[in-house]
Amino acid sequence: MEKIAVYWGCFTPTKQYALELSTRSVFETLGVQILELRNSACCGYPYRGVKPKLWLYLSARILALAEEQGYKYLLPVCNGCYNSLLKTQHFLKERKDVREEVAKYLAEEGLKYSGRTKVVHFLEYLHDYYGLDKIKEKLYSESRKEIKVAAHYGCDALRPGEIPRFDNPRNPTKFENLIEALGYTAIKDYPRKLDCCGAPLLAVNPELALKVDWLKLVNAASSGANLLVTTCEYCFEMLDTKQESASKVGGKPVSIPVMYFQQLIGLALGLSEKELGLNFNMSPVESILEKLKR
Amino acid sequence: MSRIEEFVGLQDPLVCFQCRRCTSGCPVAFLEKDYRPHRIVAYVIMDRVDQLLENDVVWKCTRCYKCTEYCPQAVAPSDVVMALQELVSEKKGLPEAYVKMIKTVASTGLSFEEMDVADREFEIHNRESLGLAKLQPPSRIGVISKIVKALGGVE
Repeated sequence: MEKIAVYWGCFTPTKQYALELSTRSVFETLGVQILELRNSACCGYPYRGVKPKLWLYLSARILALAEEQGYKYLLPVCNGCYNSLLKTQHFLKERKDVREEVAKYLAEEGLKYSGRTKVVHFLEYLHDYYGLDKIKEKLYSESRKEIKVAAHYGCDALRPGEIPRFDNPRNPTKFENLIEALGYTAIKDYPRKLDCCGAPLLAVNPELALKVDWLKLVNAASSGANLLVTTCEYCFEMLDTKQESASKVGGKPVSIPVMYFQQLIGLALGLSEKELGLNFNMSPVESILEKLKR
Repeated sequence: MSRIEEFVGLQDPLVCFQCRRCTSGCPVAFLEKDYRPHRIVAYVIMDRVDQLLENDVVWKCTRCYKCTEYCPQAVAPSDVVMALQELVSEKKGLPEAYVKMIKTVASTGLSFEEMDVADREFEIHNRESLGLAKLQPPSRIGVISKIVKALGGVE
């Protein structure tokens, strides 16, 4: 697959510009053409609890748009969107009554939902479709070995595992495989590796969101990692952008460089800081940036 | 309990035997003394939902789904909490943050408006200054807006 339809969600195109910049420039350099999902809107993720039918309508609408535009595969850059679309497929398959109700709303736009779209995670795309071997062949460098990188998959990428995922939900390895394909040493495990960044709490309980964030960051830092990477813009907002606020709420300061994995690949591809939006990282990335350019 | 049954997903909370595995892995339970997923499920089983809705405990879930992933009975405590969030929103009104976001979806298609963002050097950027395409509402925003307002319960 050298072409892939990408769904950008809400938070990346309105705030986390670094993810859009780095994903676009990395795919272009790797020779992967991005197909835009036209007329897209929110996937409904934030409303799954409070307004479940709004969530299901918005999420099914994204999948129906992909069908309308002839895309068999859809890559949402956001973990929340990824889970929202997968869960909707799972739920609507089991619940004919809700499926029929959603179909009525979609028909008002002339859209049809069949649930056939294959939703692909960014890590899954690189590892399984583009190919781990090809990444290694293009980007591996022995000189990076001394740098230790910890992965934050993000909850929505992996759980609940009742819905088939791209990796083992309790013992995932594909992110680490990709980190090692670049030549870095991956931290295979660390306390609270599969814990949350706290982002879903931001809307109603921002202080608790920062406490959860702090708990995650303190444990990631304790692993001895030189860098923490993620692919999700909500996780990044918490781990990077709000790291200083988390330190204040948590009571004990925490300091660890955080990047989008897209930015790390981009550096290995020789892309510039501007092309990867690295000027937006608020965590102490400057301490390690020069080493990562090798 | 009808709403819980309708939207709890596909699992049945009644099969919970209070092993507390959900609570033992929950990062919020680690931080907050009054948040115990197994207890929330117990209240639902005992039909004491009203008591749960008296405080803000249902807004403490971070939706990480660890409870659901590790439940030996496939009870899905996270889905129970989300169903309770819907119930409490109906009773006491939708939290203002969600009202604002749903209204933004109805007008732009997205949950947020485009923001100006400062970089490390305090330089302000937006999509245009970064060479990213201008955001446009979906072409059928009129239809979408009507459905979003109806399902979201906002004006």
